[in-house]
Amino acid sequence: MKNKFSLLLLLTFFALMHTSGYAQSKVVKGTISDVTGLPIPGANVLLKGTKQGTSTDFDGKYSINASAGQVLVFSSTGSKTVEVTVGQNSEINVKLAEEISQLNEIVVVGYGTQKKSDVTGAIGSINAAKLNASPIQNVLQGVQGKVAGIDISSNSRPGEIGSIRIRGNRSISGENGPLYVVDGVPLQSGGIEMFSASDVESIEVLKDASATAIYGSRGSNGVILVTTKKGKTGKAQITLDSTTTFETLTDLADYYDAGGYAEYRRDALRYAGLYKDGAGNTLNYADPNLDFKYFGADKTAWENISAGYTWVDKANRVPVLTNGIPAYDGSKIPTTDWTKDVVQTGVIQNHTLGISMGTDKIKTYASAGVLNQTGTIPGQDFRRYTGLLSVELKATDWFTMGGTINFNYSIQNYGYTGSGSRGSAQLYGAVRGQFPFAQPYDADGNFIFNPGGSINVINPIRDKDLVINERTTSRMFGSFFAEIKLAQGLKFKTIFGPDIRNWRNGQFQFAESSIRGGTATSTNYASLNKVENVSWTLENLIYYDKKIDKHSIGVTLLQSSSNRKSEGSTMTATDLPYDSQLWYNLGSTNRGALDGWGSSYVKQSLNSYMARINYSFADKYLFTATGRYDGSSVLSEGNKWDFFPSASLGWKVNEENFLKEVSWIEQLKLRAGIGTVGNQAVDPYGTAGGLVATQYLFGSTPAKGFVTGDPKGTNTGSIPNKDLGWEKTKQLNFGVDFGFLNGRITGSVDYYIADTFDILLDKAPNSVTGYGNITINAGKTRNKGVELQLSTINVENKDFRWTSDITFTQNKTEIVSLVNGKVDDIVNNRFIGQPISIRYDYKKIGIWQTEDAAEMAIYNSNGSTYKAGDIRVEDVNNDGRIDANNDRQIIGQYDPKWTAGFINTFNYKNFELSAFIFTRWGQIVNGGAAELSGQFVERKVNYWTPDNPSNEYPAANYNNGGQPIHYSTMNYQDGSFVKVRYISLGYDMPKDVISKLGMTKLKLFAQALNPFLYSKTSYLDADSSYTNGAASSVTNRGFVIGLNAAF
Amino acid sequence: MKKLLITVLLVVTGFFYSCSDNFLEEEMVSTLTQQRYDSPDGIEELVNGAYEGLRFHFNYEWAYALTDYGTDTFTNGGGVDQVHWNTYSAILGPAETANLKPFWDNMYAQINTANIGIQKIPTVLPDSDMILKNTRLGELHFLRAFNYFKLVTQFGGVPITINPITSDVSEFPRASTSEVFKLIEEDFLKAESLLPATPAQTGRITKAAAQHFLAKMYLTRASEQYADITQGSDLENAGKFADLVISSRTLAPDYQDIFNYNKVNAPNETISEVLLSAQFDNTIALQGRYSNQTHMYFLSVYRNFPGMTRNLENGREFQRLRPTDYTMDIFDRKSDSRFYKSFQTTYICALNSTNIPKWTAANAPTPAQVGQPKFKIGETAVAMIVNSKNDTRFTAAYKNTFAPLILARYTVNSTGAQATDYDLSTYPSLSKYNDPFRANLGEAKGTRDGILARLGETYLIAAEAYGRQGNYSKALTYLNTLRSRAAYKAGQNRGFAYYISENVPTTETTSTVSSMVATEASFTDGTVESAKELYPAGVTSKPQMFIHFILNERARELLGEFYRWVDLARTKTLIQRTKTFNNEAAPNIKEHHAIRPIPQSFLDSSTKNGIPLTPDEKTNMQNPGYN
Repeated sequence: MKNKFSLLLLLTFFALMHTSGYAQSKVVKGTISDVTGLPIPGANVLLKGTKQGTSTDFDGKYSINASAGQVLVFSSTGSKTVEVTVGQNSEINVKLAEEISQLNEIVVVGYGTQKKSDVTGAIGSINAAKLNASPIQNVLQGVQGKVAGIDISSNSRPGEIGSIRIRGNRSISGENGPLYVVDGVPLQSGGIEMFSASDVESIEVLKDASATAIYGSRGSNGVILVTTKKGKTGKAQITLDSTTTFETLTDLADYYDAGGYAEYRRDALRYAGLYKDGAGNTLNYADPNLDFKYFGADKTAWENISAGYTWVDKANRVPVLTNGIPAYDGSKIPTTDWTKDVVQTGVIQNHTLGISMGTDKIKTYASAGVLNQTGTIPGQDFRRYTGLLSVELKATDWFTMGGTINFNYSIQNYGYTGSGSRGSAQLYGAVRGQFPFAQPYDADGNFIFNPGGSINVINPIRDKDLVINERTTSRMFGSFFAEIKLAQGLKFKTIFGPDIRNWRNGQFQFAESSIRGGTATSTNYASLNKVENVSWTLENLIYYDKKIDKHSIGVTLLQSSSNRKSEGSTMTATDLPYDSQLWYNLGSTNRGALDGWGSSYVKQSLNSYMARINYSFADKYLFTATGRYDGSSVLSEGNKWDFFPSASLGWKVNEENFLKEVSWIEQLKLRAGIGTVGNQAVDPYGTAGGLVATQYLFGSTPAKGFVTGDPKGTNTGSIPNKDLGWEKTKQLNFGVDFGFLNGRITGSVDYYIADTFDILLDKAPNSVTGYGNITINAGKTRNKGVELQLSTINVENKDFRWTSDITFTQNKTEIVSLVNGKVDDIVNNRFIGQPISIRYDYKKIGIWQTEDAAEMAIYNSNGSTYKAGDIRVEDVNNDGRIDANNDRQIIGQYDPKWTAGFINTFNYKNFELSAFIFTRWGQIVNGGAAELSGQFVERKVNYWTPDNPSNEYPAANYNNGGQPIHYSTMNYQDGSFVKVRYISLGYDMPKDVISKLGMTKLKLFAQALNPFLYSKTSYLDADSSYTNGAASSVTNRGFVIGLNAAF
Repeated sequence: MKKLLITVLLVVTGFFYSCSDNFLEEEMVSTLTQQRYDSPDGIEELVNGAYEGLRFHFNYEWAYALTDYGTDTFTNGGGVDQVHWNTYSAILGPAETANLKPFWDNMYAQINTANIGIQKIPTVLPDSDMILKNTRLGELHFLRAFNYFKLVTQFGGVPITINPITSDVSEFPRASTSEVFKLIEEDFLKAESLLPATPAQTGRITKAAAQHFLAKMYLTRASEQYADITQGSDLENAGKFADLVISSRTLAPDYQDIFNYNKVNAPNETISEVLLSAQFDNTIALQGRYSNQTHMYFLSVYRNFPGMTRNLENGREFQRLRPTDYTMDIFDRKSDSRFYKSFQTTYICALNSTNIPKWTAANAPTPAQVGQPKFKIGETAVAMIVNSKNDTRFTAAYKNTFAPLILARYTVNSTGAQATDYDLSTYPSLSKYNDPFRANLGEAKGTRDGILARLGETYLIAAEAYGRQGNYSKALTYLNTLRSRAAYKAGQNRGFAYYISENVPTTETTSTVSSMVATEASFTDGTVESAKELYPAGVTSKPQMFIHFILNERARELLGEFYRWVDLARTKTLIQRTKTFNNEAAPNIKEHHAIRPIPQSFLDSSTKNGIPLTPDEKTNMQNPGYN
């Protein structure tokens, strides 16, 4: 509420703040409006051939000194530019049509910009409007589904971002994430998550090697260029973007009610031979004495179970008998709604206030933003404060200096994460694991530690307040430059980019929390973990541009150094005297010493030289060549340096005479590019084979040790590799950019083949070596794919407009060779001709049925121990024997076969309705294997019983140890899904109304988030999975209201 | 001019940093590499690291899964996470990664560490301190042999590596069982010659430990499983080395002393009887990833009983291992104190909860007590009665005359039929590893040392070695030394559960030494004594009976000390005894289970002439019955 009030206050304040504009002696004046006649504030008016210009005020009015014969250029973002020659009239009113063709858009290409029509590489571009079409918490969310060729997964924990892949995975063990470059400076101390999306002017995704080769050794996974907002010449503009999102948690899976669960457990007991009367007969009905044995450990829970019976003598468990059978009705057992206390409406508030202003000499942009998110699960929240200041000072004609400082601070409450073999990733899962017939508190209000009586199921209901996991990040990222114009067409530029990040993780677990045991002897636990990253990039650039007749040449030369350093420290303690001190006084522990401590240091550096030549002839034939020479500290001596070349060609066919007359073709450009890029993403010191520390003592004397490998530990040890070099990707890309029918259809199609070789391969060596890992260069993968990006204007008339944007990506990765050539590496799960990430296992083909006894006997005589109700797997070589050497097979791939995004936007007068559909298809996800022991809570499944010969899930068995035979085969699900990401309704307040409020823009909108999901596996939201991830049945849906205002 | 000046300034500062020569050099600030082993300090750290490997055998579920599960002594309780190791279901196959693969992988990682040290020590450690040099070398030879011994007794012949691995090699054919034993023999002998008699620090390997393992190794090779590779002098050597240990060490006076863990690093951990133990204590920073978790696995569920709650004294009940009937019956529980000293049979009330039963007019000892709770905090709340099958005393009414909750192994129900209070989760818990000095109840990381060899076992090795040579009288002297220690001493209180279970008056405290003396009658067919030894059907000859008698005595002396599966496998009695005494294992256990499957991950990553093995080659490399 408080936030909404301040918002209102803010709006009022700005409304009162009448902008005065600046006066000038008027020779020419007028009003600039859009096609509907509404004035356009902030539009630019420039005296052609001079640097004199002005911009319109909020009423769209301008005035400028000009003399007859001079040409005035009127422009505004998103509109077509209009030129008018000054004549007799001193009043020139102009209507600016909306810019439909994006041909003249400027895109950032790395170390410079280019007209989109001149680009020869495969580059996807997304502007601020598209990025913020739906409210987003981080920049990545805004990109998902909007650029062909990139795939972004989701992460529903506040403050966490998903992972991103450009054109699939290619490296097997190296990094597969792209390089982020913000305002020309590569991010090294952290990711993109800390930038406010409202501060982003544009995002370019460099996809093919000819585009990324200028980033050489870091380019193989694509490059994402982020340009933050800069000040614009003209009248000051104040913008306010504000959204509030309400989210709720939805669980797609079905669960048993109390009566259903009780029967499920009885079935498990029956199958295990434990639900028998005194004579040894299995009882097919509910029996109070047996029930008491298996449900009676917790008195409160037993009260509930006993409600299912009709009693003669409840205390002595004598039930009413009907036909000799105890009278029982499972539906009478009350079901506890456990999750109601651990789900809440998540609220996300995101507000950004920005000012842009500038003159010829000084341009500034400043913004401040706050994101405040509470999760749908209590205990998870995220707050982020961002500030951006960008200044550009043009001191003289030849010298410009400037810079951008981006500061942010965030506090993330990560929330509960369980521990132990049945630990849950979040509180919801832990509570979901509670028995429906049990209760968190007994009738007297006392906390029940093991509700339902199972010693393995601990009551987590209080943990939302008892487990604190707080992470703070402060980050300072800067990009500073100085530019000197040395001569006509010759520029020298220096860029310095510091990136500093301080991360702190404080954890505190109260003694009463379930993680700490929650009993009288439990102690509390605290840890403090700090990491400081300091990195910088220093680049010197020389640009030379020359135009001779129809030839135009651009040369870029670069020298660059960057350095990255990370220092960390960590300490943990238990048994602290004061809970209130959290992790702030670990020295006070009653144990007299910390339980653990450590510190770390990692440093790496990169040195580079790059040259690029752009050449075009007659604005028809375009050619770009680059070469980059990179040296990296993380590779072994002698392999540190390597060269990464690329070349690309473009042909603007539409400029040829034979097409110039074809009126419906505005653009037709063919592109071809080839290049080699690298991947150095191995951990520093990987070539040396670091030792693994061990802890031991003799009596009570510490005996610190170091071994080469420790399979039982968290660091299993690596074999040193003195020959480690670059992994390289050679990529070939063909593309067509097109624009037809006066901009009604625009888009591009790309086809690529990328071969990655000398792959950085982490592999588990043979176990007899005693090492857990070795990193080598070996093998080859091939990526092939097609990308389509299409924008169409389906209907356009005065009041109504319907546009569609489609992206489609199909990518196929296959392993071409491995360490031993074209030979499968089973132990590392890698197979020739298969994608990198696949599953190799037995394949479940059903459940063994009672009538299969004869067939089962064959398998059982060959080492199996099948019974009816067990999972049946395929006997691939059909030899009557299930063995790992012959019967495992490839089950599926974890990467999608194709993905697509589809945005439809309808504009009617001032209303805008748009919907975004996103799909990912053809991949498997992990999730859904059922333990079926009848001892724990899990999803309701159709399990086998003698009376229900299901072929879906095996028999429930109380003694199966939570692991039915061939357990893992139940785990592979089709992860294909179609999701409506949002449906949004916006309303642009009429300009004549808002202008009275002193505003130039006010757009109000409401949006439904994730309103529909079609999932091949109905109980999973596969969107939460990318590689080898386990998909979840928990998904969030939401509703947003918001406004964009400009003054 | 200004233009030039600024340009030059920028260029110069820019290049200054990056052009320094060492810009791309990796600084090894906080990372150590294998070069560390070229210094004496590094060798010290390597040996410390090699010792740490001893902890593996107590770290986690593999501690019991490969050793006590699926035998005659223990079957599964209600905690069934690793139950296939008891039931021998097909999940216990080559692809098992929870216990089988870690066992294999860790043994080889430790072997590689030892190999590096054995290669480096001769040149790195100076001759100026020959004692140190010999000791370190002896320790590593011992540890390498120890690890191969662990491997060969589980898997049979395994690949041998004795040199440090420095590259990604993958061709490791299996050596024969005989070759592996030969290496183990050489290494233990070398260790025996190099190691000091007195350790410089608690927990260091001594000459006596090497002798114990030499004796054990020779006895193993002389056992039925290895009949085809037994060397003529093996039994002699086993006796010889066992005697060397016995002459240099002393048994603890009372069986209780071995497990009397009354504080962290308690005196029981350094008694002369302990020949080698993996070292643990409560310094959390030195506990490693797992520490000693064996305190959890044998415990039955007690927390739901009236007056009880989970607490540190009674531990976390993982209820993995439940004693079989064989285990409860093979002891002469009346005379052999080892039974009640090995099991927890009573629980002390920890909570004055409302569910504590009250005395009624029918059973109150005095009328004044009617309506009063039967016990309060500090008094006995539960007693596990380990009675015998023909005991008909325990009717509901009789049980109600006792203050504590009585849970009897054999009861009489309301219809007069025999019943039991025991079930999967209710049984006497082996108490040898109880650890009340952990940081808190929920803490899995234990603080007790893990015994790898103790003199009690040396006596049994000696007895078996001499008995196998037909010298039964000498064998009996060793056995009777142990058995006499096992007797109740005069004046010793035997505990509440003892007196009720065994139906002995609480005044009885005379020594039971005389009834503990064993004679050849115990392994002579047809005698009263031999009937008590529960020999499986078909065990009739004296030599056969002797082996089973030794196994019975090993069960009584070393119950739950993680030797059982190997003892049964080496004597080729695993299938017979497990089928006879372990109801859960009986349906599935087959001949091939007497040797473990080779981990699939090893087969899958193995090559021959640079080419991965074909399915047929893997099948041939696998132990029979696992394909």
